[in-house]
Amino acid sequence: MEQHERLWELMAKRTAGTLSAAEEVELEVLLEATPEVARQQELLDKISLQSTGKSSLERKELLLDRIMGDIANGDNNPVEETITPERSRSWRAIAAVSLVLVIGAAMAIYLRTTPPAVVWSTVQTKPGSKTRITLPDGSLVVLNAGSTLSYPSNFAKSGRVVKLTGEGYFDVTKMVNDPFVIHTTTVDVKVLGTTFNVRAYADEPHTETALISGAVEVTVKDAGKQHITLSPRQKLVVANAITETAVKQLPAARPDDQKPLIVLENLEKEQGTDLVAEAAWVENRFVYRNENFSQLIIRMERWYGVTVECHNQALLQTSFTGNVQGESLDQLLSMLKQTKQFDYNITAGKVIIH
Amino acid sequence: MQELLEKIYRNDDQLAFRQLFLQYSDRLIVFAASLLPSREEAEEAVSDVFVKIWQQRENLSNVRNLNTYLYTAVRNTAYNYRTSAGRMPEILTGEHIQVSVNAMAASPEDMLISKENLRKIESAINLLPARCKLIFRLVKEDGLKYREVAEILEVSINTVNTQMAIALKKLGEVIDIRQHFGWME
Repeated sequence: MEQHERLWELMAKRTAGTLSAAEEVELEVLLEATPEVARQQELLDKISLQSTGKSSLERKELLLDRIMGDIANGDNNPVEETITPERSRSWRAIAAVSLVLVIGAAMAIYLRTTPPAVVWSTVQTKPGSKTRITLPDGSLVVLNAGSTLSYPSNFAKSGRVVKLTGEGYFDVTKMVNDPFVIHTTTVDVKVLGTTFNVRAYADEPHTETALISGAVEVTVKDAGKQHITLSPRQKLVVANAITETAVKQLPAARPDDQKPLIVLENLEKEQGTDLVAEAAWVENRFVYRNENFSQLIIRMERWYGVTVECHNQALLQTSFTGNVQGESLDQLLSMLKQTKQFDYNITAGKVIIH
Repeated sequence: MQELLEKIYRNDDQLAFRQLFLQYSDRLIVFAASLLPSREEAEEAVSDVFVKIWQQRENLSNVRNLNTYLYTAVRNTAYNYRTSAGRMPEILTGEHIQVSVNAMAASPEDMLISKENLRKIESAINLLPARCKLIFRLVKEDGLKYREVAEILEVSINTVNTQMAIALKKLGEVIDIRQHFGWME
């Protein structure tokens, strides 16, 4: 019994990363005697927590406005601040007034009989090409190959809303009280002003949101409408199947169903660059991480605007990791060859692999 | 982070100050909400802390650990609210913070934990005693070190260690390993 308590004491220390070398050995011995515990703890390491009911970005902006208001008042009247009930009440009064205003605004919008016409523009990139778009609010979007971005000609009328299929790198102009929302099939991404990458190709199994700086709020469009707030250098990967399972309520028949549909990862810098892997494409670098060849074919076709025909079955199951700068398909293929030997020839937009 | 602080106390940079708030407000409001009876009071407490941080921004040059500085300020403000309202300062009777649990992958090839086990862990975390849950959250969600948690909550590192041990034990016990290692048996 006492020995068991020692085990947990050491496990807690391990979580803190403060085990001494001797304690590490001691823990190893204890865990060997209790393999079930060892495995449970191994699995417990693979979770990330999010407290629910966090304040929305708009709410935080509202709080910030009040804080700045208080600061401005304090600067005029520099008295040592203490918390008094009067002050708390005045804050509640502000909240109540703003609620009334919001309801008033909502009524005004609701009562308007003829909605203003909003014209949507659509930019589409072909395989093999990328483009840069400056939106009406000054935000910059780099659109990757084979992607579509739609946006209203006038943000003032419709709010800052865009629709994305494919991959885009966003540098959103900061506008207090006017969030910028990106709609994709699987997730909605809401931001105020920040830099991030969204990858939502219809022919890929996941939708990824990678945050470089600032803050974003991702809403998963399944039945639960889960909100997840990302910290800088985090990436949220959502299985596109999440929206289907919500509708159909499939019985858990496929072994795949055991896999979690939402995964949070940390971003890492791509080797030999200053960029995180998710944003390296913006600098014209093709990055692949533990991707099997059949996935790579889809991406190569898109990136280089070619069609790829593969007659090498073993190759399709092989995974590759690396990155290549520039436009040359030949360069990429010769790099892949170093991992696993294959022959290829390129003729007029078509690659044949043996 | 040090850069951000310098912008605030050297250049009176309000944008840097806003950024500091946006980066920390989620964590601090949830922390305050675990010490105070309502979310509104938690937001007020955190706002008060930031008003003070700006007013006394020259003090930021002395801050060696921003985590303990901010959390401790929030805790003190929350305790002041409680004592001024005639309540006991030290008892955790705040809103019961609910957590959701997702799979975390260190790398793409990493083995992931099953959906069913995630649900089990989630409900087990939400059933932990308030103090144990708070400590577990501060470590696992907010990424605080044990000595930071100890300093913020004014307890010994030993207490943090003990509470973490209790949490790890309870949460580990609910995990069904057959779903992951069954093929090895």
